[in-house]
Amino acid sequence: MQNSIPATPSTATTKVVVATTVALTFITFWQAAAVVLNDLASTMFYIGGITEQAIGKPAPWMVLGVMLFSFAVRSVYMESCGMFVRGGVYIVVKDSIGPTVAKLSVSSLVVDYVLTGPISAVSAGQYLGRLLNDMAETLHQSWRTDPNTFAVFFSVAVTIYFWRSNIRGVPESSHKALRIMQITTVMVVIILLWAPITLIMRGGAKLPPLPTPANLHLTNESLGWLAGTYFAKISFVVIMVSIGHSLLAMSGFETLAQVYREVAYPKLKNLRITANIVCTYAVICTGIISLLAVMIIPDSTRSMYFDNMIGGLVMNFAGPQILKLGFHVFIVIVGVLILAGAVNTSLIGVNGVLNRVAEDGVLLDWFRKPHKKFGTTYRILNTMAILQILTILASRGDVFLLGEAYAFGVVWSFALKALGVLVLRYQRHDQEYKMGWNIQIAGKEIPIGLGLTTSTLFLVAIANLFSKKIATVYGITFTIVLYALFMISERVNARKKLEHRSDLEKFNLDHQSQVSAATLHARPGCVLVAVRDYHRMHHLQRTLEKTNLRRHDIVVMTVRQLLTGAGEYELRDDQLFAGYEQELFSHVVTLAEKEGKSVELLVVPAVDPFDALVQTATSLRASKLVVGVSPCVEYDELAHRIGLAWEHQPLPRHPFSLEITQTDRPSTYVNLGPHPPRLWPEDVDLLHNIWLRLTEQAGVGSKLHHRDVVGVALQRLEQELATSERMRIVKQVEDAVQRHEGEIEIAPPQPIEDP
Amino acid sequence: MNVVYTRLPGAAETLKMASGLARGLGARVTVHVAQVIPYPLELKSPPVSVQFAEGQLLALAGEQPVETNIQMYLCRDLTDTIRRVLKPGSVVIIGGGKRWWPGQEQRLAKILRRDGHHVIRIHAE
Repeated sequence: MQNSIPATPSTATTKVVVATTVALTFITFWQAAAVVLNDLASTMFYIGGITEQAIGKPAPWMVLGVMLFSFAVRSVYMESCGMFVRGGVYIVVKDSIGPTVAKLSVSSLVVDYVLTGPISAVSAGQYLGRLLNDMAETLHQSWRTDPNTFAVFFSVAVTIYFWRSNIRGVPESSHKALRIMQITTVMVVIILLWAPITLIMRGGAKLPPLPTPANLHLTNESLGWLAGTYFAKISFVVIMVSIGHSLLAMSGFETLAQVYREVAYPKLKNLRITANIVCTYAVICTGIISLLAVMIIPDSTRSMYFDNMIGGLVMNFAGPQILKLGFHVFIVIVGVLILAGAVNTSLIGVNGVLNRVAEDGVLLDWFRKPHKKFGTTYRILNTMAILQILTILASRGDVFLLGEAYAFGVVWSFALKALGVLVLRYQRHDQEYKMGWNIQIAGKEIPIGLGLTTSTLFLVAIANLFSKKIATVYGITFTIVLYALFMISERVNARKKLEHRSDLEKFNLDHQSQVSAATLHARPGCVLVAVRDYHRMHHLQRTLEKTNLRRHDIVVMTVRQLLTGAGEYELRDDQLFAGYEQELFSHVVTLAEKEGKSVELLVVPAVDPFDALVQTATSLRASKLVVGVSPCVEYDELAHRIGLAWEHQPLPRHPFSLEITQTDRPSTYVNLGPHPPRLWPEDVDLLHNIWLRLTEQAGVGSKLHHRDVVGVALQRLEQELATSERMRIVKQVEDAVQRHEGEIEIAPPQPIEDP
Repeated sequence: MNVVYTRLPGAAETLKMASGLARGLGARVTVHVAQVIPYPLELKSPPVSVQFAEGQLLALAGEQPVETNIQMYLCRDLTDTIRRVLKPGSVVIIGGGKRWWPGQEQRLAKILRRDGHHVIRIHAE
């Protein structure tokens, strides 16, 4: 968002001014999809091996099924994003179910983040270690590295590297995500071309067995506490347990909610495109590649590649060994890039989530103490890095073990989020998007699609609870510890009076002696919207909805009203931009980001607000001034006072249109300055009849226009006003005004809306 | 005169040089600090706390002999933000380390020159 600029002269100099603002830039759906896929697509490197170890050869079908199910989860996220622009799982669950379950959901999300780092780093280490072994073999070298040990050392090193980066606050380029996904796409395309060639050269493809209960071979380890019980024989339970082992393929969806704030207009449409790109990409790269791996790597050797399935797939392609090795190196580079990126994201993500809950007083301020040298929340980062390193050491480089534990956080945060969205269907009615399959029974909406998705997620979560011993013990222990920490923190913080409002945006004060379009980055012809009451922003909402930013910029201004004579003194920043203005503009920013459109912000100190509005519109050469009706001034009075302010402007006056918006009726448009009037319908009829009669006169004929009739009428009116008829004319004018009282003009004179 | 920081280390040296130049020209210094926030974090919740960064910059600017205005931006993209806030034809000083490969500062300088700004690169660590 942009600066706020006072219009009064700033004569005194300030030696040092420090100001901070948030600079919102909206991103395309491609960029948004790249950010999400950096998290979501990283699972393709390890999901195939983990799932096959757990449920046997039909695993790729299950992974593919889960990736198709991700379209349903996508809809859950879209529905929640439509209600909460900044709504992650914590916000949604807190708003719908309450703070207790919200704390549980955050705990499971933190489990997710804590384990994302180790599983990604260990998987990258496995790929790298096994590549080194493959290279040694190709080069006929005798040395080999133990991939598990190598993976442990590598992942500890990666974790320490990113921990240090985060402690130092080194910025990461946002464009990096797009670049990584471009490279990943190259890799995926090569695999999708090379794999069919291999299958053709081998004389055909044999699909893995379908995931029927008979084909699913769940080991005692993958059945957990269900092993040997009656439940392990129930087909439905077996299917649910199998889905549970595959569900972590969807990990990373939470990022979709995080990027929504930055998605450009039309926001929800672009989110839908983003989500569709993400899901389609995930189906192809995670689902199809897992399937190809089982089809191409022979059964006898596939277990060797469980920890680097894509590496194994490539080494089993048809073609010269050196070419395969070269592509294997490329795959490992891509894998290390995307998986190491996921380690960084996990540290950033957990830091963000815990800082967010700390803002609500749910985490002790002790954790948020900034680093002395770098200013980062080092205690949160230290704690998370230690937990991640301990997890890596405990796993001893076993990706399967980490995958088993990882599933807990993933599935419970999904399930609680879906439940939150479902509950909100009955609590709120402002969903901009609703998941499909809704039926009406006796006037009540039954959300079948959302209900089925939530039920499936809960059934899988419950199946996981009993089948994944490690995940359950790790997850529940961690959740209880974290939940207890939240509870204690909340009680301690409740004793302190929280005066600081953390939900407000930060704004710069850039003092300028004059308002001008150049300093505001607003082009001539912009739309100026006046705001004062953040409970009455309907006019801004409407302007945001209908203004095409390619044609017109939007400037939102507020007038800081001064007492007469106050303008003689230099205003302090807090006099010019007090807490109320900060809150007002925070609401403006919220509306703008919900719509996905940028606005320029402006504070104008003035004695007369109407003069300030007109002066600013003139200075900016605005095409339209939009105001909302206030409870104390009627719309016609408002138009009259703004009109008078316009008349008081020095010549030549800048003409613009005034739009007065009310919540319960169409906008009223008034043209300020000389403009052709829009006649009342009966006057149009009268004018036309007079014109018809006059055209019948000889000598006038077709040369006469309606405007000539109006011109003569006006000239005669002006003459008669100078005679004794004046009082009679004034009475007639008064009668006309009374006759049309309450009728408003509703058609905009100069439409600037999107077609 | 506009000074652009891409990171705090090295900022003191850059600002000192800019102040020297500004004093000679009788100009005012505006420091633009763009803090890039990764997507998992909200824009208003940067990894380096705002109070901390402001404190450091305030101390830094307070030592300068010329009027110094510091603008800090919490953003997703450094280049877009700096391009957006600079006025046309600005004199821009960009600090940064000396490297043999093209770094963020070099790329930014190139883009700003292309936009018509007068860019001076200062090597400072």
